[in-house]
Amino acid sequence: MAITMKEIEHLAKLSRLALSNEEKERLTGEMQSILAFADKLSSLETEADPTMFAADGKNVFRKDEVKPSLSPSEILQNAPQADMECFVVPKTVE
Amino acid sequence: MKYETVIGLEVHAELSTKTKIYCSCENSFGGDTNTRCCPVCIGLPGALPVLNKTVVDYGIKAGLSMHCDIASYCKQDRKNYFYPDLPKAYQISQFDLPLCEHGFVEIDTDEGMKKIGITRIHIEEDAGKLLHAEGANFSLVDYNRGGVPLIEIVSEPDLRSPEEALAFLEAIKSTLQAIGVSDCKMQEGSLRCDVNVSVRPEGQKEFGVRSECKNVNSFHAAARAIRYERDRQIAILEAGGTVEQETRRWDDTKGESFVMRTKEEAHDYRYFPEPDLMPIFVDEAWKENLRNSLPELPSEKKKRYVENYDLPKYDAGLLSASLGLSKLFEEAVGEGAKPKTVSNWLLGEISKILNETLMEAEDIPFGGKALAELISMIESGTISGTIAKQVLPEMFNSDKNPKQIVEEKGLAQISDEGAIMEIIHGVLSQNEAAVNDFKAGKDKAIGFLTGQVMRASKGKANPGVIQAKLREALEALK
Repeated sequence: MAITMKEIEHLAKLSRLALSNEEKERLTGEMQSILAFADKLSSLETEADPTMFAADGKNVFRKDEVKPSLSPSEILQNAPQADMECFVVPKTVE
Repeated sequence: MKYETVIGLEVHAELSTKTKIYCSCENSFGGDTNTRCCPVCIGLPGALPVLNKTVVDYGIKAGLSMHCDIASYCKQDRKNYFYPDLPKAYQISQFDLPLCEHGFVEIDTDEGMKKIGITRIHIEEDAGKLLHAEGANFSLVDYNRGGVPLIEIVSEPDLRSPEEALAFLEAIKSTLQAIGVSDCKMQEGSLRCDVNVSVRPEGQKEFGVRSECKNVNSFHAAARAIRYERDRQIAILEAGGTVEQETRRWDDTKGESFVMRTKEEAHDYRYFPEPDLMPIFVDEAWKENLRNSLPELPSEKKKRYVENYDLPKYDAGLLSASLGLSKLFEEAVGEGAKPKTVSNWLLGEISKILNETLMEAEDIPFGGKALAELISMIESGTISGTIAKQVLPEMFNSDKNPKQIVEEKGLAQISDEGAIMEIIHGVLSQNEAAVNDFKAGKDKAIGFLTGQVMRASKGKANPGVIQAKLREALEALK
């Protein structure tokens, strides 16, 4: 499948990224070559079912037992901005 | 033209597990912001989720109670979308292989029992909570709710009216509560729903274009949103327009819905299998174990109440739908109280208090024993029904039993004839006009005077004794 500028703009919108025209053009080319690389797989002759998991394993569970959480100050220590023990984000009222 | 409304619901229920779905942070409501968080549930790079087994157990139980097939193999997927309440920028959910499929629940309609199909039930994580300060140019995020386990129950478009949708929601709620997988507290957001509505000319086979309404936070709001959407779509069609497929946001205070965003873009979630979580295999033994652990379901309970306690279907339906009310009912009846009398109290005065205080029946602070005690005090003549209605709020407000309340407040009924006669004489001397009416043959005056005596005794006088003694006193004056 060919990646067009339109696809890049759509993805940028979904990811809330503001891209310049130069960036869009560069990403169109880069994405195209990534997909082309992955496309090599299609040239393989296989009869196996599609692989959904890279590792083997099933039913990896945890017991429903409470363990201590981190403190709000630890949770917020990497936040670009925090206030009132919360993360501060751009206003998001629909 | 006549139109038919077609409704499908997506119900999100928070599971009442002890911990979150992918980490060991406590799953509870309220408390200080960001106090139940860890690297997994705030989505720090490199943090690895591990599935809580109880979440799968609860999901399977929900599926079994709604007659679903349980998948012997299922997996979890990433649903990608960018929003600040979702720190990883994806929600772990289930896409093409859900835990449960092809079930149904039965609802009571005017035309009898109706089966409403359940398309699927899947497990997923809840998002954090956005807080909007008045006037601020930013929002705050609390991730305590992030990673709280949810099941999403998707119905087939089998519902045809707001009333059917309400009955369906009630059935879901009572079932989930009965099997103990969710407390379904609407005011805490434990149960939320999205409403899909379309209309079509009566007799048409194809469905009309549907809209999806989000932010519906109460059963009442669901019914209102459905009515609004039905009327809006019919008006568009009548005016020769076409209904847009769109996501709308319900505003319950305004009683209107607003377009949120176009469907195409919002639903480009780019799902793919969650590589950090292994697939889930459910074998027969696991399934049967859970099936055997299921308690009596509300529909079965209703039948038993009608058959064993001779309750009217209406009473049995309301009681069995509520875990809190049915527990009190069975406890009180177990203490020897008459089933219908207990039902009247639960569905009358007690439900009235619950409605007024927005309290859930499960949070009633007294047990069935106290209720039985209250009823037996009325039946033994210790207190009147009127006084009992004053005792009841005290039972909600204190941990005292009815006997203590009646004693402390001096509410016991006065049956002593001498004491009542004294009150009667006082009332008669102050109401000469009514006494004269009685003498003139107007029997209606007795009703008025009875009320006055009751009032003078602050509701404590035994009505039977008043009746007898008042007539006696009046006759003596003739």
